[in-house]
Amino acid sequence: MSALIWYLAAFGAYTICIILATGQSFAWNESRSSFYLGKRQMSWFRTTATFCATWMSPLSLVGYSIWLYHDGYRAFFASVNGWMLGLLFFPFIVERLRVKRVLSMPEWLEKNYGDARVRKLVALTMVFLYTLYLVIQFRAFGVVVSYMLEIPAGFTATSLIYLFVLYTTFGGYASVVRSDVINMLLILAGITAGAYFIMPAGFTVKAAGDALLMKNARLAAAGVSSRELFSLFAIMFSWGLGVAGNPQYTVRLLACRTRKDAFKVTCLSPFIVGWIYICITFFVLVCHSCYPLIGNMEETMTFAKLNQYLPNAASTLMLIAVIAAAVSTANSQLLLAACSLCYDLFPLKSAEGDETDPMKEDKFLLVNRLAITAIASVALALCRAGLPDFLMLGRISWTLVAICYFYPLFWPRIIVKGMLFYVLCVALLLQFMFVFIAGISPEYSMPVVLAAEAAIFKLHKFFWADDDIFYIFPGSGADE
Amino acid sequence: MNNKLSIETLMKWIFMALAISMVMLTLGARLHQSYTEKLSETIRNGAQVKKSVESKKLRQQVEIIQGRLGPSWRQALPGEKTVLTIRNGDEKLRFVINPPAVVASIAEDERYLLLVGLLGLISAVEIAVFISYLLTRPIRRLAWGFREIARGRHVVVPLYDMMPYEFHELTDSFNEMASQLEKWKEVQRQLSRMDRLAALGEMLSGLSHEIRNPLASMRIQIDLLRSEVESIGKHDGGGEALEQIDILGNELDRLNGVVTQLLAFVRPSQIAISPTPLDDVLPWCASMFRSQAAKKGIELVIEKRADGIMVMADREMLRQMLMNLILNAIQAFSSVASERSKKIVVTIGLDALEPHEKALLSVSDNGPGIAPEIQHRVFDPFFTTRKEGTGLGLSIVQRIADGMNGTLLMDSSEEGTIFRVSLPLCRTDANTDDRSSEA
Repeated sequence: MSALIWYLAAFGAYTICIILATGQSFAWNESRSSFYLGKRQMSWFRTTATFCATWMSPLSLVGYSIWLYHDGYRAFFASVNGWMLGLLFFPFIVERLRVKRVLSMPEWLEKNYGDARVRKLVALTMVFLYTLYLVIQFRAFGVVVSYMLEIPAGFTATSLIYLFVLYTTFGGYASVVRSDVINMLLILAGITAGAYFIMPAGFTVKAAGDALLMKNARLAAAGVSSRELFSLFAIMFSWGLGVAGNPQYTVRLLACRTRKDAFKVTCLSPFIVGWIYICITFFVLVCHSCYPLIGNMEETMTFAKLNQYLPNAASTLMLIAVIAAAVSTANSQLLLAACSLCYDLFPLKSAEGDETDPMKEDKFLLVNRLAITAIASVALALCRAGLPDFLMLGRISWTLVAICYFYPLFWPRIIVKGMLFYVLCVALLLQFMFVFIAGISPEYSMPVVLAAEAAIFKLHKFFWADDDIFYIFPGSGADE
Repeated sequence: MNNKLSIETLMKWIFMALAISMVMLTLGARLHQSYTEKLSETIRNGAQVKKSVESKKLRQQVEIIQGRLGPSWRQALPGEKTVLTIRNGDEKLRFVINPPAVVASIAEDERYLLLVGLLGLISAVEIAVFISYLLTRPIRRLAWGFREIARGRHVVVPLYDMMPYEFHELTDSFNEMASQLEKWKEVQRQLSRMDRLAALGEMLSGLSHEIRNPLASMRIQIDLLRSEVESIGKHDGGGEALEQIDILGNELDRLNGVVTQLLAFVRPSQIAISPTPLDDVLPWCASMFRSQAAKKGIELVIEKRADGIMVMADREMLRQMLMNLILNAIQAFSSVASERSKKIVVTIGLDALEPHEKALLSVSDNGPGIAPEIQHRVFDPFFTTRKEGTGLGLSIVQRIADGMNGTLLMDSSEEGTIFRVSLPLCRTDANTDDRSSEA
């Protein structure tokens, strides 16, 4: 059977599966806590599935693969190391996160640091970066679908993910989790199948060992210049901190039924994510050894082309895994962006107060769904706007996340409450100037900005012993 | 509720099933048509190749013939039923149609259609969900409204522009019903109150009568006893006895006062309505209560918004009414923290709503207000939140206001409470002319 029939059948089956399994509807008794966090009643299994599915974005699969294919172990060192380091941070913040009964991370910041302006500022940043981040998912999906169905990577291919994510996100967190369970299984199956079937003479441990012994010097990390080494460290650092504080993952820990479940999730996830990275690394290394001349194309297209060396069934699973990664990450980000916009940035006055009033909640959630549609539409339009490549968009997003959340989550003792808003304003402004005006790579500018944040806090503590006496403007204190 | 299947779910699944069926049907019909056309084209092509090969009488390589036939044909296996036989020189080549190749060819040709089909499917399902939402949500809202009313709460279900006309009308009717129900509840409350008052009146009337007579007798006996003791002389221990007799007398007087108040409530004195200057009550009010209020740190403010207002009222009853309202306001401050400034404002003027018909007498305070859940009971006799109160003051005020053809309204919030007594103006030419210009 031709590959096209495989792809068409698989794509159709995936569509039907998402439609039926997600079962999205606007339940009457839903509230903002069920919409954003599934009423904090998610089991560890579901949370682990959604955690890992959200983790595996096309950037993790495609961006990393192609970087690895071209530059060898440098990619592994900078990206996988960074991501896995970030993942290891989570157990340390579970308790801190769950102490406050919040629905969003910007709200967590407000409740912890007593400043509503910090919440608004971070929410605004989240809307910006998640819209940007969505573009990655939409683009990757469009390219894979265009490759699978042999159609131009235009509006039609991309619009499918638009409908997919609207459908899954409209149902709120519970609906996102249901689709993520399917997506997680598909990602695991696809990447494992890809790694297993990529060996030209069939998979054996010996053949796998031979493939992993790097005969090609270009792939090895040896001979890396000190400048390049610094660059790799900077990327690892920024990506690690970016994922460690990313609300995509922290809200999943908030949504767990119990603290114990949240710990289980943080303990299990590294194994699943690690397995996927091992498989994808193996797949790419074998591809590099056996098929080194794939050509210089767009990242996702290069990845899709590598799949031609797989049997049809495995290739289909692998490409569906990329689609699943795009959908799972996109709906999670869309929900978070809508939450930041409607709950943190512009909360409806008429919907304030009692969460048990179904009329208010109905109106509030309808506005959320309109926001979801608007944000997805903007991201869809941005797909054609000529933005930078996956890795660059990822770097911008992750560094912004790290700037907003690193100190509040991991080093709260350094923070001077009354100053946090101003320090974050200055930090974000600096980062934007470095990246968009000076053209400096985000991962180079981020350590400077973080150091500046720390320096301001430390200097303040050095000159003013009391945390709460420093106010730039009268009446702008943390206790307002 | 045993049946958990909702209309929304049912509609969603019906619409989804319809959408999937329609997409499947359309795609199936189109693919079947393509398959038939492709088969015809394959057979036509096979016939052309056969004609071409057989006409040349020369033997050609099998691969060349296979190439000309295309992937839709393959050589028949031994024992397989042949569809096309081509005489190639002295040998016969037997071919059959290769269905997977035909299907692959169709898939390639129709891939856009399949993609559009999938787009249509997701869109149709999303539209199905929206239609179910739009059609069933008003019913859900009404069901919620009914439940709330059953719990004794007043609700108004909001109307939305996007709502279909029928639901609009239904919701409108519901809101009207809820509003009428609320009015009916108010009427019921009034009726119930009147019933209670009547029963209470009868009981109190008898009881007060039975108590008052012995009290009068006891008073006489105490007075006699006092005279006796006085005659014995203070130096024989009579001084201490006199003190005790005085205490006893005072207690009897207090008891008599309570009984008198009860009787005033159940058998109020006849109200004699006559033209009465409303201004007259203000100096009396100031002299009576200013010092009493000042002792408790309350500022009593008297405001006159119009001069020479004549109302149809009973002067004594008017004073009693004002006295009860001011005492009530003074007592309202008992639970207020000392740092808050305390103020009672007594105002007379014309009723802004009916300046030619009614005068207004209001007493307001900036106390803690009356809790919303007990506001409807404050005019009930014996309803009080104070340990030492009789709970008769405000019910007497209401009775007096009713007796003078006036109306008594109360408005209370956390900022304070205001009582407004609206009284009919005395219809004299001078009165109406003067007042209308001031109003």
